Amino acid sequence: MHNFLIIAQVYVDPGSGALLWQMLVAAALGALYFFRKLIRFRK
Amino acid sequence: MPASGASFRDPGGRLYLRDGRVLREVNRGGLECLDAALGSRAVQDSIERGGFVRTTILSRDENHALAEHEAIPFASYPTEWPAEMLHAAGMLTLDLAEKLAAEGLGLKDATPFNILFRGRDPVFVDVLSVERRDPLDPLWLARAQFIRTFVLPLAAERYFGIPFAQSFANRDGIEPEAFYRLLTPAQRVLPRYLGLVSMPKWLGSRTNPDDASIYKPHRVDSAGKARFILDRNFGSLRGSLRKLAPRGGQQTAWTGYMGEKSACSYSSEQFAEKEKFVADCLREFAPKRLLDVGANTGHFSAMAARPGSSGDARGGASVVAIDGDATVTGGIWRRAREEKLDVLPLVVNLAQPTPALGWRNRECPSFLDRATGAFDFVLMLAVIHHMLATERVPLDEIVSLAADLTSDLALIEFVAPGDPMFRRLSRGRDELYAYLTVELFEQTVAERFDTIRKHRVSGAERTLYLLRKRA
Repeated sequence: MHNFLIIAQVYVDPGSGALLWQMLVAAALGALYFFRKLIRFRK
Repeated sequence: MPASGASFRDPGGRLYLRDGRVLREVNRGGLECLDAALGSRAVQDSIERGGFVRTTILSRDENHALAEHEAIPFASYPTEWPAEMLHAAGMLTLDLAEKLAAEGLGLKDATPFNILFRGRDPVFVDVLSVERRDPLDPLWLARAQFIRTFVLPLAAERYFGIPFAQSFANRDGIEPEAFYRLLTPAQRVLPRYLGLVSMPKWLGSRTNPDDASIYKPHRVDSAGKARFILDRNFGSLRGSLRKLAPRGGQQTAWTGYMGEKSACSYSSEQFAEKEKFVADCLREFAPKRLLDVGANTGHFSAMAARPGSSGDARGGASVVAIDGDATVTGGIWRRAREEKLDVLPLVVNLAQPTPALGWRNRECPSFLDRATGAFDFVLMLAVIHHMLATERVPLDEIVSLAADLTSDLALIEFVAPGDPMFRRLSRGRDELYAYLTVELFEQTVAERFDTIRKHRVSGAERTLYLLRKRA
């Protein structure tokens, strides 16, 4: 599985700036996910 | 058997074309992808709806497999599609990626070169693009490629009038950095461009190009969180694509051509005569594969493709409709979708047809390579005077090309230099075309064709010829 994923990652150019932006958005969405869970837990 | 020039980039397998069959040899590295694709409910549903290429495993062991794909009748490439078709291809790619994600699968690349059109409908053809995803992975690595090859070319075409032939001069589409240069400082901060163009550009320029750490796998602590992030990522791309959906009704010099009497030189009675001649020919000879050159609104393409109109009990002809104007070609696609017609509209100017592209010019064969002998009926209605006067192509060359394209019949409309449209195109150079007479046309076509029948349109300088290619 690990080797397979490495091959998949080199297959396309992920773009450096685009990948960093996707990571930043993912971090923000991760925080949103955490707060949503927290709110649901408190209810 | 030589491998198809289009398949060498894929490390998981090779594609072979033989006697009209499409075979894919899959190596050990690609087997997991093949299994993932064919075992996926999303893929099977898509196959049933015609959105994914039908695939049969012919043989398989633990090291490799041989699969056969359905043959798509006429291959076409993004440089030949109107915006409507690139948009439809993007939606299909995104739908598939989203549905695969629900099964723990994904697409490892997202390029329009994974799509062909079966008539008007997009078909995803790269089976080995499907991969198993790590459930903790919140990123879609192909996202940047999706933006480069679907979103930015559509935006460049919509907002800057940049044709796809230019956007795909680089096979991987438009880099955000290149698009950024098109924007004014005020445009760069518009929400429409901020996440797709400006942020990637700014972040990319602040990154050390030798720092490979950003490409290391990125994982979150729960599968639920990864799916939450991934779903919103797809939602955001879908929103971007939706905003770029082509709007019908744009006007170019050719959009009103069929409707304006002054532009196409026909009165409604004369046009009815022409329609009857064409309809009679289609009904009598029932073509299976028809090429409509200079299709304009697709009026005659639709006539040929409509079930019953060609006299074929199984339905109309399978039509490829070409026109150099992307807006009218987009209109043909809309019409084909609305009327459910087997018409593949392509942005191709026969005087400057799509060249062979890619590595060694073998990845995408030229339009003429694909079209030569691929049709049993070629329609050239109200088009050769454009080639003669605007493109300055000699008559014998045009007739010779028509004979190369058809395996059997051609219907050509001869427009004499005295016709108002011809005179408009010749722009005062009437003496250049004084030699062009009906007699010369008949002499020229006689070198490659036999005339089955002809009809001079009443009161017009136009004659229709139904021709059969000489053996």
